[in-house]
Amino acid sequence: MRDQPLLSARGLTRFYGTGCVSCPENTGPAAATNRCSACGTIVACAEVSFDLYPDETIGIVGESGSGKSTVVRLLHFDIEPSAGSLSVTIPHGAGRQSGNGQVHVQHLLDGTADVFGATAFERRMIRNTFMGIVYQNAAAGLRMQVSAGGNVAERLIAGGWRSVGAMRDRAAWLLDKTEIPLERMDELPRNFSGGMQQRVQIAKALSNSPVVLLLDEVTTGLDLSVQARVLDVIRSLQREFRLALIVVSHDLGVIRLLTSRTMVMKHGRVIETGLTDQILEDPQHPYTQLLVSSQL
Amino acid sequence: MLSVLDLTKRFTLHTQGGKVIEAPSAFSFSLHEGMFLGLAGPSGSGKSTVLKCIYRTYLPTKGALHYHSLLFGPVDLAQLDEHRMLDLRRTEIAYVSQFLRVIPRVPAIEIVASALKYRSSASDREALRKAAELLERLGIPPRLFDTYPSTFSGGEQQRVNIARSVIWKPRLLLLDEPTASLDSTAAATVVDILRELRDAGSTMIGIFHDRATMAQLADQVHEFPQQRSVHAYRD
Ligand SMILES: Nc1ncnc2c1ncn2[C@@H]1O[C@H](COP(=O)(O)OP(=O)(O)OP(=O)(O)O)[C@@H](O)[C@H]1O
Ligand SMILES: Nc1ncnc2c1ncn2[C@@H]1O[C@H](COP(=O)(O)OP(=O)(O)O)[C@@H](O)[C@H]1O
Ligand SMILES: [Mg+2]
Ligand SMILES: [Mg+2]
Ligand SMILES: [Zn+2]
Repeated sequence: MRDQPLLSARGLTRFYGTGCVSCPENTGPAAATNRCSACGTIVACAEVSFDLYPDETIGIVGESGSGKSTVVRLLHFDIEPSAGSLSVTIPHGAGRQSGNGQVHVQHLLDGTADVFGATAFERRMIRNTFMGIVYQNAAAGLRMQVSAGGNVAERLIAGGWRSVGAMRDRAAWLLDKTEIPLERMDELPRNFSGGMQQRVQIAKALSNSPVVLLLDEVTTGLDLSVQARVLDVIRSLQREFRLALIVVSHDLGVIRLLTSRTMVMKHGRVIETGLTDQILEDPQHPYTQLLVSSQL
Repeated sequence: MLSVLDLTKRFTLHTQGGKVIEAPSAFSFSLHEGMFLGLAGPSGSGKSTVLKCIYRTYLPTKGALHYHSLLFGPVDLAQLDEHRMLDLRRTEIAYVSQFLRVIPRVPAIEIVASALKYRSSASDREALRKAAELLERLGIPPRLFDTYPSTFSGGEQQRVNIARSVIWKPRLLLLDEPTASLDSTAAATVVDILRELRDAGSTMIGIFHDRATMAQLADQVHEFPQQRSVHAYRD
């Protein structure tokens, strides 16, 4: 019935520091810290495993510093894992918009290879062709001194696009989808409101019609009506493009609306996973119960 | 089609000193295809909990929920993996909660139409037409179709909630007080719609506050006893 998982992550781990044999036992929920008392290493995330299926939406929740953004950045190859593997299954000719990236990396996309072991070039190809990301901080995802349209075009070029006219048309179309007025396409995102910046990030992330979209706190810090607008844009794009989403959010309302399964993180570990409605209505772990009861 | 064996659900409230609440305990019944089972009993006796365990919004603590699915054949809903549970929710099991929870800024008619579109090959136009028909039948004024349900009255929201589940004719429909905030005309329409659905082959489990409504629909009623000795504490 189900297809193969699009992404299969096993044991994702990221250390900041030299690491020692005691790091695993000195960190995590039981140790109540992500810092190893023996060597001072920060275990930003450890042993994170999950499967993401086509069309599926997974939420990641947890307190500040629990490792949510680290997981997302690992999946986007922004940082290197200390341990763990990631396999990717994307059928050939999955109807992507981009140039010729797929040809170069197709041999890595049958679900058997660990793409963390691929070359930097191959990882970049995979990322630019199949993934999109919206960062917690718009400044991390946008170049503020480049126009909104230019930001989208940069990602298109990275995905193999070459015709200026075609790129401009595509950028206009994407900005329109994310409800950025066309007449503002040539303005710098620096002049935009927070909600607009997030929507430009979404447009940029969608440039090459990714199959996986990673959203790190897309609505945090936006006022409620703007949040609703951003969520609405994401939902309709998700339906239209059949995107698989990983949604990191502090806001359990956002998680409930956008995701079907949820992982709860604490001190770098996944402490509970389940159907999203089950996590919110019948949380098992004491920390999840606290999280849910303090928000509802 | 569904047989529940010794279902027990225990809530351990870690944030309240590990207090344990148990409801229901060792609940059993079985349900044939096309049957309508009513659940009755005092408030807090565990009726909603049973529905939520079947839908897996709650994780059953003990017992088995044997369900004969179209998709996977016989499965135990208490043990089924999450992806398969989601598949069943998409294709055959629906749950009508007491309150509507939807994404803001989506018009009522879209909510109902997309529930059908997501599950069938219905075209946009066809889905919208069916959604309009159903909402109209439920007494939602057409001028509200294109507005966001967040501004609707409780009864209107509940009707949108019912509409988006019945529109795709689920095989197993779980109803938690679907008529609670409806006036008698709207409630009567809901009863008619549910009857038609049952006559077309759907199986249902329903909680109704109102015994008269229950009598109009249920082939069989299971009475829940007053919850017993629930406030046990963990050592
Ligand atoms: N470059 C780095 N150097 C050292 N430590 C880092 C680095 N990046 C992240 N960390 C640490 O890793 C841990 C996890 O960080 P991460 O950004 O993943 O948290 P988060 O769950 O996204 O938190 P928030 O909800 O605040 O965004 C934190 O303790 C953080 O300080
Ligand atoms: N998510 C929950 N967490 C803790 N206790 C719960 C939860 N849901 C239900 N209960 C408890 O379980 C018992 C049965 O509740 P419920 O099934 O809602 O009863 P009914 O629907 O029959 O009124 C009650 O004591 C209720 O407080
Ligand atoms: Mg973060
Ligand atoms: Mg109830
Ligand atoms: Zn260490």
